[in-house]
Amino acid sequence: MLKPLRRFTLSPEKSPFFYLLPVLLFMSVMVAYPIARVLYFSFTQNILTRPDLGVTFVGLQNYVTLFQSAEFWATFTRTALWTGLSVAGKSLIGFLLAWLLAKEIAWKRFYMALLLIPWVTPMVVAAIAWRWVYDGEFGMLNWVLTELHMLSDHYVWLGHKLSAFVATAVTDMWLGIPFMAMLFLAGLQSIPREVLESADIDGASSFQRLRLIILPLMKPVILVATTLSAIWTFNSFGVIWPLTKGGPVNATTTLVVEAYQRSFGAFDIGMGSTIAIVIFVILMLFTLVYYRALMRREEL
Amino acid sequence: MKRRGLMLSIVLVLVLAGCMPQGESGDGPAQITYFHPGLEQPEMREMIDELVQEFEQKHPDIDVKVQSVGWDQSYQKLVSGFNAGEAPDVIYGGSRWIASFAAMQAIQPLNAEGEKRLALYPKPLQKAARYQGKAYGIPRGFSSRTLIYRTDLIEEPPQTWEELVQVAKKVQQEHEGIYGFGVAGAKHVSTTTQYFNYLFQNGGQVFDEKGNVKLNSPEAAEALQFYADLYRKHQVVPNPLEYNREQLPILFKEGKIAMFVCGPWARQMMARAPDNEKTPYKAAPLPKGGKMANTLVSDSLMISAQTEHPEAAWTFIQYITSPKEQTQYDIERNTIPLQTKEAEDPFFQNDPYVREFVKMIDYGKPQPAPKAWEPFEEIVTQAVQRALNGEKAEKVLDDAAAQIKKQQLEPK
Repeated sequence: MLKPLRRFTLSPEKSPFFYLLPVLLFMSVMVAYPIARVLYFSFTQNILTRPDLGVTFVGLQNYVTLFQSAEFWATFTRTALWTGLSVAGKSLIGFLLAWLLAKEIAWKRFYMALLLIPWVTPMVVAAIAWRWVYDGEFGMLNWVLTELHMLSDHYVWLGHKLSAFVATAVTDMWLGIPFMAMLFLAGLQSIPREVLESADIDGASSFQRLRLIILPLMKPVILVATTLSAIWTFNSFGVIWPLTKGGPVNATTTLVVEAYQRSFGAFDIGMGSTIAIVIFVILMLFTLVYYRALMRREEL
Repeated sequence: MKRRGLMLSIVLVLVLAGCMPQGESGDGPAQITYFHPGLEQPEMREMIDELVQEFEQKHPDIDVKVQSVGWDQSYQKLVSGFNAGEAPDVIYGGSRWIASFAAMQAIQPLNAEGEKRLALYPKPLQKAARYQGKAYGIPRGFSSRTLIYRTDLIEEPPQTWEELVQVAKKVQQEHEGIYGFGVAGAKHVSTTTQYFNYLFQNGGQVFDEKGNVKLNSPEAAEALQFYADLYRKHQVVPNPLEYNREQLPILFKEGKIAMFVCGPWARQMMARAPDNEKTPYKAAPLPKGGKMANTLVSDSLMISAQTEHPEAAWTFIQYITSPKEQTQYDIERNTIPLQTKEAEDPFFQNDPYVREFVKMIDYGKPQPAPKAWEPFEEIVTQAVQRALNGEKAEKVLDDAAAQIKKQQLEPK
């Protein structure tokens, strides 16, 4: 038998550090190091395929160039609009579905299973399937609309700026709705039955119930869900790239598509990293909001 | 306890043995990897596998592993590979990539034998495989462009731009649900070559002899305006923004378009006679603008600068590009003869489809050679898409030329 070692006793205050050490090491290698490296790259001029231009440290020059270009602000606005459209759609439809599913209806489990399909579909697979739905010549959407006589001629959904913008957002909604619906459903079910019953007794209409009881009680859940969804949507690359590659022209070029194009199309690592850092900062702000919303929820 | 310790050590030994490098001793066959884009098409894969097998039988000391991703991702995969030190030894890729790969010192110049082999090819192809005077590639695939048209709908293929519009309109009037013509406008390399055909025919240039950008010349603008008008004014093509050239043969096969411009591989993507009763077709010279011209695109074989087996890599290239193998390869793939001598093979003279492509070689203009291709492609595609969206051709080309200058892409 081994003798117990006395030399390595630790105070309860200090010992957690050692327990956390493996994870901390792992996180610093897998997360902190790449971020630091991208940050460093963003201070350099470095185009991999253009060694003739040289690799130099340029300080904040990339950021200055970026913030001075009108194109960047256009992309920024576009990203905000696209994210807003998609998150709004996801929240509204998600809430509607959750509200329907919270009722006592037949076939509830079946509907729940159906709802989960978009969630378990890999993003790129879904995007490619939707590409065919939107196709101008062979697309299902055109077929349905012409059969219903809502459209007289085929429309190329991904070939026009506005329709491509909306169509990519709709695909993104389709993928994001199940998550929202599930969160909202959980939120709805946590509303105390007594409150709703007493509202009924007081003669509240269902709209009043929704506006005065359900929504206020759901506020923390809604806040958490939309913020989380906004973070994911802002970074949504797997939907836009297979559908349009940021086109037509640049109608669906969001910041993350732009960062990808710069880094892996032109191999302009400096500028690509700069955009990546900008995205990082924006998402940090979102995360902050999320964190606050979550904390407040726990207080409840 | 003892037994568990024994088990543990056995497992450990087995695991460690699994980690040991195997067959790295000097006398095993030299392993090289061959990167060939676009082998997701089974016929292509089969052909390359057969070629490699034949080679391995004749050269038992060399072991070739085939690697492939789609054409769309190839450039990216290669550049990342070079940077990670994991590049394939022998690379099949667009000749348009040679300039940046050579500048990155990612590929190595060929030896004296390589120079000798390169001399077997037509002059424009030799030029495309050189960078700063040194040979970096052996041409492998090569294509000119023709107009492919429905013989049941069109009696005489159009010979000028005006006729092209007329014929296309006539087809649309006479037949429901079909477009007269099809062009590409998606974000894809083919959108540049599709447009450049008209640019060259109109006497335009992308870069002049000194390497200055000439994309915003009146000739180039007129050509782009015509290209965009096919969609906007004449409405004889389906919305080009949705399609790249590789999708045109499919639209054609499905009876959605009556004419399109493509390279010889289009035949593999459509049905061949006599299986194409519904959409019979023929190839014809392009309808000409100011003069006859078309863009010649070539692919080349290159050797990575990181390879550990440069001799084996060269032996492989030498074998697959030997006049006999190359002729066989071109006949099987239905492409056009690559080496000057090959054109004498009766196949290329007798096949009425291939013959038209061979004829177009004489009117060929090489693809422009910017310092780096991909950003150039992005700029030009953007300009084409903006024109298709209704913006003035002069304006978008001015912007494009300014971008090319700003990113220092001019081949000076």
